[in-house]
Amino acid sequence: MKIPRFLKGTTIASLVAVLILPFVLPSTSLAIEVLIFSIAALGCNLLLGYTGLLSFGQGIFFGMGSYATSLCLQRLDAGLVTSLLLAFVVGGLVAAVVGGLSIRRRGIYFVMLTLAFAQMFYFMAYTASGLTGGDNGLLDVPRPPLRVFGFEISTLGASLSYYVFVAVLFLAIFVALRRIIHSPFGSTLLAIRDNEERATAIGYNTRYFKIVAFMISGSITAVAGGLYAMFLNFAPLSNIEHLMGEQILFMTIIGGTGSLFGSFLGAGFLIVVGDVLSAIWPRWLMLLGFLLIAIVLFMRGGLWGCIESLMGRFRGHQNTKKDPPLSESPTGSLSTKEEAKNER
Amino acid sequence: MSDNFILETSDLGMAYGRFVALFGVDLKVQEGTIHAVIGPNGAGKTTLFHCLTGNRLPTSGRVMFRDADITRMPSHRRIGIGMSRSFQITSLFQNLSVRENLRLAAQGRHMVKAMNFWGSVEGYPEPLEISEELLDRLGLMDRADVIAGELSHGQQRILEVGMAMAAKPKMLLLDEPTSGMGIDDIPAMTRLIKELGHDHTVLLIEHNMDIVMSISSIISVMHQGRILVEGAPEMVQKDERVRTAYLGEAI
Ligand SMILES: Nc1ncnc2c1ncn2[C@@H]1O[C@H](COP(=O)(O)OP(=O)(O)O)[C@@H](O)[C@H]1O
Ligand SMILES: [Mg+2]
Repeated sequence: MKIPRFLKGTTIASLVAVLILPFVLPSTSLAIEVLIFSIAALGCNLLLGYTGLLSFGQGIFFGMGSYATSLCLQRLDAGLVTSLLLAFVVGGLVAAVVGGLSIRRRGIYFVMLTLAFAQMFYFMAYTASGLTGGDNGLLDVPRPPLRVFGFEISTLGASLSYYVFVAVLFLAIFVALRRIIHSPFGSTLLAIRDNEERATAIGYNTRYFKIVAFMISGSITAVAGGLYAMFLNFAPLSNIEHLMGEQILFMTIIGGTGSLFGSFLGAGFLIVVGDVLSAIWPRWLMLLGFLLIAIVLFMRGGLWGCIESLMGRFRGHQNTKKDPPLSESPTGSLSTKEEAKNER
Repeated sequence: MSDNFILETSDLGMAYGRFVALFGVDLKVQEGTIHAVIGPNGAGKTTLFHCLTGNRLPTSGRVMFRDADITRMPSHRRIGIGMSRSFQITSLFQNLSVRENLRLAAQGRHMVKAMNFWGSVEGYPEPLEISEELLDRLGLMDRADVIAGELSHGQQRILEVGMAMAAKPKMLLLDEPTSGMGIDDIPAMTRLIKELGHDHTVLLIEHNMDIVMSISSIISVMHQGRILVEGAPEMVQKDERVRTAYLGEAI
């Protein structure tokens, strides 16, 4: 049987990573946090890495997801799956509005619009304290047992069982995104990222593609927000602050834009390093600034790009030992590009 | 000759702010011909193309394509009615492979299929077939997996035209396809355009007089935003006004 492409390569890597994560990290909650933010970074990557849209609005979707899930659990007494589905739908709809209006402008004006929306949603959440709890956030968010068609699968009470639940969702979203990226739709997103003028000239209504990309991104990010609220048993106002959106952007860029596995690396790196450093030195966020500058200046591919070029160098090294290249063409650089294409 | 015009403009005008680049252009393009637009730099040829392809909205006048008014039709929808263009300044997907560039250009014709985000690219064979066909026709097969940005300039110009061909249009608008090309690459491009003339209507902006005179059946000469002279190559070549216009540029 032929295994589809989206189940090979980095999907295997993600599976392995998810399996070892709780054992190599000091606590299961840290592992849960890593995966939740990996999901958020995946959502961001679809926009930034694959469509070329730098959105500061990711915090909106994250925050709306955590409010939607929390309210659904608290006020409607709904189950876990329903609440997350609601977050998914709300995230997609909000992203359709925010994205749909922001993409009316390009470049820097687009970015400014997403920033403005981020501020707007923050103040809306702050003001609507009847719904969101305002500054105090929503307290006592329950984490109900996982039920599918009435069968209780797990109470999700223990950290590890919640981890397993989050991990399954993470893998599902990872595979789904890989599928999307290799679809006609996904290939068009890359075209839009590369050259929107040409994409329009060959017949694509780029606005539709961008809005759908936003909706997928918003839905995924909102699910991450919902998972986070259930993880904390709390939906703080900070979930919808612009800092949240920036953090998600940082993770995506540090991990490597345009590589899904990079999003996991970026989220993992930021959360684990943050956890370690914040214990030693409360001003550690300053280091993050330096790191971001270094990445933008010297390693545009982020962590994933580093791993990739190391692998490329290693392979190139092996090749030259085995047999010298047949042609004059720069085989090394081509093969890494080929890989980059396959890993998309 | 019967009057079978595929494209007609009437009183087409266009201004960039206060600068008027086109004045009342009436252009008629006969179906199945290679129609060249020449003229000194800044005459408004590219601007005319922008108006014909929907990149810019004309400030006055109309554009008719196969008897339908398309003046305000957004540019992405013009692929669907059989009109496609190439750019004077090469506009490719620089980070994607040559094959992928062509496949994307072929996929753009069917918006609904292109929006499919759950199937695989391989599950939609038509664009794949068109891209293979074009790689062969353009002589780019051995460069198919190279990133478009790594092609030589001449090959990029060929691909630029290929991108317009992938949509299987009825009419091709080519904006200076040989621009910046070395002398060795020009014959291949000339041959390609001539071939395209067999089964397409081609509207061609071109600077190279040898090409224009040898392959086009009708020539419109533009000068300062107007069509100065229009006619068969021999006629245009002899026209005094055309010479003066070009001389004006030299001074
Ligand atoms: N985007 C623009 N903004 C302002 N003026 C422009 C713009 N594009 C072209 N022009 C001006 O319009 C005139 C016609 O330009 P163009 O159509 O590019 O000429 P051609 O293609 O015949 O060389 C020129 O004088 C040029 O400077
Ligand atoms: Mg021009």
